[in-house]
Amino acid sequence: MAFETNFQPRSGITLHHGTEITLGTATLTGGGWNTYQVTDFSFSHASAPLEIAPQRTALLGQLENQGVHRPDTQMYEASVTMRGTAKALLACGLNMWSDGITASELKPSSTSGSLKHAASNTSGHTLLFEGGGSDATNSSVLMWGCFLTNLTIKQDIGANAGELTIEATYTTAYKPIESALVATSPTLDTGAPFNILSLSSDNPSIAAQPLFAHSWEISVSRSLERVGCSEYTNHTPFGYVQTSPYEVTGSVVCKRDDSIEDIGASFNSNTAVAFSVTDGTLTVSCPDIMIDNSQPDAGSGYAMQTIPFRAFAASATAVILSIAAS
Amino acid sequence: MKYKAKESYAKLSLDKTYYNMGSPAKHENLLKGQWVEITSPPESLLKHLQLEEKITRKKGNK
Repeated sequence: MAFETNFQPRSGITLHHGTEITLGTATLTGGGWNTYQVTDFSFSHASAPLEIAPQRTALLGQLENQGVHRPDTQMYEASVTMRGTAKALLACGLNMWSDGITASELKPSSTSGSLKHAASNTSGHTLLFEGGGSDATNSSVLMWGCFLTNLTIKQDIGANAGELTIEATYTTAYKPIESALVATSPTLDTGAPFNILSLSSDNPSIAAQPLFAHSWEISVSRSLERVGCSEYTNHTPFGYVQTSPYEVTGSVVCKRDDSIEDIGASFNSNTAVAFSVTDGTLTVSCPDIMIDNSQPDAGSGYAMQTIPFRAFAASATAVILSIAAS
Repeated sequence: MKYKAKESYAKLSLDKTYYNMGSPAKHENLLKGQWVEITSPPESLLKHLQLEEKITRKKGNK
């Protein structure tokens, strides 16, 4: 027996996002595939944790039949970092809160649609890591029924040339497979990423006060739990349940100046204010944020202020987060 | 701009609505009769949507 000769150059792995119609059914070869501008990724193999059955008395060695794999409880993750284009942003909005049309709005009533296996659902994504399979012939990794559990969008004047960066964590309860599937005629995302250097003057702002920001970011997170296992061959789940609300948090790191004094009243007075950042083609806004323990930082050449916040909705039908991108 | 669904929107087949066009959430909210923020609706849907009219008051009128 000799070593296998195939290997996987990182640069030879391409991630395609497939649009789904039914939860639990992967996008097919000729389905709708989009190729966003991915800069980093990780994916899962069909692996499962090992559970150990109770130890028999009078034996001090563990027997093979005590080991039980639990793919029936397993969730699989994929992390993707993308350049922040309009298409990539809206695809994330569709996947996480079912709104992929600008202005994509997260509200208290938002959901990812029906999360029951085999139900109609156009928000889920199939992730096809073409070239990521370990098998010599089934050279792709296919993960389907994927939903975002964490999404971060951020701009930093000192990182990634100021480009908007999207960090997305997908989760699925469907067991990934290695497959020979290739994406037929994927739509390439050729859009230009948004850049902090292109922000409109007086942006970003909190309570309509302009902040000279070195960086800002917003994260949306939620928890998904798999619902059991409807059969023990492929370990198909009955679906998912969302076990936490959408939590929207963010921060701005900006020059400590008179604007800080002007918004200071909202630092500790149970007062919600608005956050907004725009460059004319991208507008990210949270109409109701509460600032969470903002502090100065005088560790560099001039003093900065970090303003962490959490976004809320003013009412059950109001907007928590809006992303308008074109 | 904000839009509301006209009666004709509800009669469209699912594949011609926002449900299959990338926003099941907008579709649901339109069916509920809510005003929905849409930057630029596609031509095919415009006739099934009603644009919110801004109420502007003349000077002196309160």
